[in-house]
Amino acid sequence: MQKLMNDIEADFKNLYFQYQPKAYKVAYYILKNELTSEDLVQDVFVKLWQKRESLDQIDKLEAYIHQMVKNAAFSLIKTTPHTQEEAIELAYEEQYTEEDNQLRLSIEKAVSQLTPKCRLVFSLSRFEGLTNDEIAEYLDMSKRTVETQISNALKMFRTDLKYLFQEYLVTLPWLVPIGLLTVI
Amino acid sequence: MNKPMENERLIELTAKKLTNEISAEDSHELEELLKNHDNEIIFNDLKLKWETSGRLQPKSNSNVEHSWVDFKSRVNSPETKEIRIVPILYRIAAVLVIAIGLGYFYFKENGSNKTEYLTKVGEIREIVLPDSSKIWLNGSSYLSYDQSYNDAERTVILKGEAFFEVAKNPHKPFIVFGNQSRTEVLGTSFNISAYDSIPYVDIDVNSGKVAFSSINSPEKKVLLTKGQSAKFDLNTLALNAITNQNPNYAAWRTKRLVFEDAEIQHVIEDLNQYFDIRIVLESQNIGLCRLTSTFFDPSIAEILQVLQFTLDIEHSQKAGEYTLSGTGCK
Repeated sequence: MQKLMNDIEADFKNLYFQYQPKAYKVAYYILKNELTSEDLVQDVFVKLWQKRESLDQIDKLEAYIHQMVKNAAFSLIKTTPHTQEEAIELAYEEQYTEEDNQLRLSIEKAVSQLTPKCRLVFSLSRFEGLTNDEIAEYLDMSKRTVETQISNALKMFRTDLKYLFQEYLVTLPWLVPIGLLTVI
Repeated sequence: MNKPMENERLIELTAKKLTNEISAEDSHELEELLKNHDNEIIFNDLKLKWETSGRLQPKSNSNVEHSWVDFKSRVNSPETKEIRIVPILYRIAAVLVIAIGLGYFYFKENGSNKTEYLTKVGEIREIVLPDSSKIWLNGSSYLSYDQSYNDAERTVILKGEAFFEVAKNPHKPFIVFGNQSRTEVLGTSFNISAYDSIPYVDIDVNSGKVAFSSINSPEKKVLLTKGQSAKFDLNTLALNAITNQNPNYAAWRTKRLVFEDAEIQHVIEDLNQYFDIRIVLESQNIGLCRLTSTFFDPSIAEILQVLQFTLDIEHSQKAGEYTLSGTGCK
């Protein structure tokens, strides 16, 4: 009997090491706060631990865990809309140039401004390298929804550019009288 | 100029193209749209950002090994709690007796609706906050919080040293500001030493998870779990995590000094801090001797006697300074 308990505990440790990092990322992409995400994922695994003896009856355990994390994170946002959000900080995995750095900043800004659901889908696509099909299965949503969220994310990247252009247009009329004054 | 509708369609098709989900028909439509120069600029810009974001990864302080340690302590706590109850009550009682015995504490509520506490030298005060979080404030220390405490978050200001037992609430982060440092938790226990007179801030985590950083750059934080410590150097602004925690970091509160195969040169550092005295070594060899012993609420005389009996270290006292002498160890 004791042997069996130890086996279940060892299995659970494997399960934790296998699924916790991704589960953490799902929470982080929604919540944008490391501490809150850590805590929320721990709570999910505590719940799993409580039913550790019946976990083998769940098929698609990974998707099941992500569902739990996703639901908990969205309900946390609903009950406390302005939890301590931080900006998402991104970093290159390899060498980068100064130009890359400018791009990184504009991407960081856009990703931080996305809605939580949109940010989750976009991040899984770009930072985790999942295909639309995988994301749909992962998050239990239709493929159509995934596509819409990716489009929405691109709109935010696009708005960023438009915003810069508008700023340029606003400054332009001021240049005219200044130009005239210099001529006089 | 493009009509807005056309723009929307362009982005939709771009999204399909970039995720490799585009049909032959849509692909043809996109090609048509891209004949327009403005559309081509938009497409290329989005493509560049899309590809660049694929080379990026979110910065993360999360570490599965540390999280596992924290997880284990969470699922094990209901079983160990019962065993622990008595010693904790004793400890609390001991602290209370000291606080009442010394009798002096300073407490006021002033016009700005701030609650402030100030302790004298050697005084330890136990404070219960509105959310039932507990704080043990060490001697010569100051703690304050204002009326907005527990509204959106739980913020306290510390000067000096304190041990925190924070009530868990994932909706309201608990934040300690202490001498240029910022510590954020959701519910855990930890010790912070942030005296104005010392050019660094020390934190030791007793349970749970803690985010520790400087006030000015909270994004450059270290995440610490049970048994970990960190030091924030106020001169160089360097923030360093320390894995081997000094077991005596909260001795001021627990009244328990633990030495496990500890070199005397480190033992005297702990003693100097605990008793607020100065001990010097006559020769460096004495510092290499090792001590294994546990003291509960000791006096300095008691400890010096133990050193004499077990390690043949003699002691003398002159002008508030203790000198240890003997042949020492190698």
